[in-house]
Amino acid sequence: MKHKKVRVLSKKIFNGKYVELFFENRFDSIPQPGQFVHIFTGGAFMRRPLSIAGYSPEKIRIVFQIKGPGTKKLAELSNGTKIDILGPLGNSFPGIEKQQKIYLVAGGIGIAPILFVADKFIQSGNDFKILYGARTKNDLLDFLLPEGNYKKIISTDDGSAGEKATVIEILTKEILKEKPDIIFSAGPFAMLKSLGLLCAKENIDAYVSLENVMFCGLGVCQGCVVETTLGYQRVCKDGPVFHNRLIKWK
Amino acid sequence: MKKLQIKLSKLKLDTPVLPASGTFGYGDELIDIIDYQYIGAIITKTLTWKENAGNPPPRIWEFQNGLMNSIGLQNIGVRRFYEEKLEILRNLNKTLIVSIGGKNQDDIFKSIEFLSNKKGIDALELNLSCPNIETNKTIAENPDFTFKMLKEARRLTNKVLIAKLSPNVTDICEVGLAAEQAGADILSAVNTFKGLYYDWNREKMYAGGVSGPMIFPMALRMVFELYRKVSIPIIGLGGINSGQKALEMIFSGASAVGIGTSLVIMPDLASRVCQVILDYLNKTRKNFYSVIGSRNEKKH
Repeated sequence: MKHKKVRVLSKKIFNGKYVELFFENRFDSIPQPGQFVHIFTGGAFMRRPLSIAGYSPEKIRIVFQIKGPGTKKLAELSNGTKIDILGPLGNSFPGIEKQQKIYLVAGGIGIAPILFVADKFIQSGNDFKILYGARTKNDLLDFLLPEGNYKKIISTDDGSAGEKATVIEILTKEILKEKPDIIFSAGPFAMLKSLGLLCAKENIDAYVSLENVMFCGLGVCQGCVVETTLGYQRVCKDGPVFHNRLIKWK
Repeated sequence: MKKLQIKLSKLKLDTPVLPASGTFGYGDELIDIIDYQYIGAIITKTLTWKENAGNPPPRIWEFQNGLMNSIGLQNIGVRRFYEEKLEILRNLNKTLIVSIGGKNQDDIFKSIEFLSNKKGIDALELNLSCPNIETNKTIAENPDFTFKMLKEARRLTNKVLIAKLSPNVTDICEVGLAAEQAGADILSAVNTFKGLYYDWNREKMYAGGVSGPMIFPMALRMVFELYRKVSIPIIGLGGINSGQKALEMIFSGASAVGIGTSLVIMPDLASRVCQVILDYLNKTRKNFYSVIGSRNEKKH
């Protein structure tokens, strides 16, 4: 059964609006980067879908932004509290060959699933480069990235940390220097759209993790669909990870 | 759970707790989420004659105590359902109710005809929230249209017929009586309430059907009133999110209850509702049938 009640193990809040929370791992299967958990927070009517940001046999990490009453309530939970979760849900980023050049591109809280991808690549010995942009230095969570021998380019909209640029501007420059074989990305829809159009033009395979308002999270209600070349596809079940060329970017 | 096995018209139900159409997929997708022994039957999402893409997103809006949807009956169509899903559902050994709807009556009649001779389907639930082709008015909102629709459906099938009623009417009893007189075996009350949602970010108004705990008092009242007028059994649904609320629906006159929106949010709701009903029956030493309508003075 994918429906579990699990204990909150620990929690840290950064700058009053970002949360790293660990809960006990009672999953029946090993979660993969890109998958999410659907959490009943008690603060809002519907569950909240949140990316899995890390995994160990003992605990699951989620990293999220406090945006509304649901995530606010979740951020207030104390250690030991039991939370009601469904998971792991959705598909995941595809496996890649070691010799492939890969860029991980994260915008804002889109860093959450990318943290999990980075962990996995460090374990597997894949070489990769991270491009990570946020609004200001107070919105950066780069200190949560794993240690390792990989290249990291940080940018902020206001220049308060890293380069003063959007992550798409950085990506455009990096592609000119060295074209990757594949890109994994997560972030706001507008950013993913720019990335999707850029990668289509440059003929780069990109996989994007989409967000949407989600009711069931299980594929039954058809509420979270996105328009694709295959028709309406469910972000919760057919995604959240989609190949960039599948999405009809509007 | 044996004590909760009931008969609803000619249907044998494992429990009086049913999923609501539209929240249970095609019926087989939630096997690793919900314990099926606690649900009385499987009920599919509404199927249309032809495959249907549904409405453009957004499709879901959240309220404090409920939600609004505008899915637009996205589904694979009756034929693909038969080819791809029916065998799987048969093997689950549960009573199977197939929900049928569509954009016009003729398509609904075609679907009924097609499914009528298919083994493994125990009942057809007619989602009457489709327009009458001549007038473009919703069938479920008019007793005459409802009568004609059910009369023809009755002619086309021997399967148990369930009429799913809309709450968006002045007097639900008129429509319920029309369905009964035309030959419906069971009423299902109620479907979602028409609602609007204003999105301040997009600066746009959206229309859809409202469900969840916020509609419970109105749904309860409608089942209460229907029970006084009709003789066929009623599946009561609309906003049930606890065993207590399910009992209230049964006290009002429901012979079985539907849980939809809240079942999706709390997958163990069916088991909890069953347990509360069972505890109540054990505590009061009553049998299930004697509780139906027990807080409603039936007047014919």
